[in-house]
Amino acid sequence: MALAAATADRLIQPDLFSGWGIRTLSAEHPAYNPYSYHRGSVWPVEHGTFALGCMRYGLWDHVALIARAQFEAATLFDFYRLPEVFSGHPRDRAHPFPALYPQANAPQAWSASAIFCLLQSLLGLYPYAPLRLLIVDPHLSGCRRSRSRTSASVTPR
Amino acid sequence: MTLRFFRTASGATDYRITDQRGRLHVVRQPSPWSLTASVGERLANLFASLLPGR
Repeated sequence: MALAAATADRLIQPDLFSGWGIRTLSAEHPAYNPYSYHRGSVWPVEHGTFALGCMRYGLWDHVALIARAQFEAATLFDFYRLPEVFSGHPRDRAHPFPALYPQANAPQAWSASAIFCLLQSLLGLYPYAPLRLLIVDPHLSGCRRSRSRTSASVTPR
Repeated sequence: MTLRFFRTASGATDYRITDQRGRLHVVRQPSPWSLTASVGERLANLFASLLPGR
């Protein structure tokens, strides 16, 4: 547990967490390049996995931080469609939106899949069809109250 | 089924079933993937889910 928490804490330090997401490489690394495919950019798809991992260890504040960053990034793209990758520039006054990675596929299906993983992590959704059972364990503690209502629809077959 | 998730005045998160057709049981319970949920937490959540009105 301590190792998991330390790892999660490391991921959200400013050199790794840009404010829009977690970079592929620390901004303090000599090889860091915010426009490099694997040396400093931010991949939305990975954030679904990050959130699910944090959820397993009960690190709800980390889940909320990661989800909020991705949701807010998504609002800045057409139709809320996250691209394959965007640059690793820090979220600040000089970079008020995630700079586009020139060759990124947009939209990209696996980036879209991350949103479902984020929702699953935040709401603790776990369907178990044989028993017609839906397990929920919602944790919206890191979300602002005014925007904390979330609806989910489930259609049994 | 439509579920609405919301934060309560105390800051906790709760949910409400706003529409349901067909048979589907909703139970509050830490994820089966959780590595930190205790047996006590699982039992408490399970009983709370079974209270009338849920």
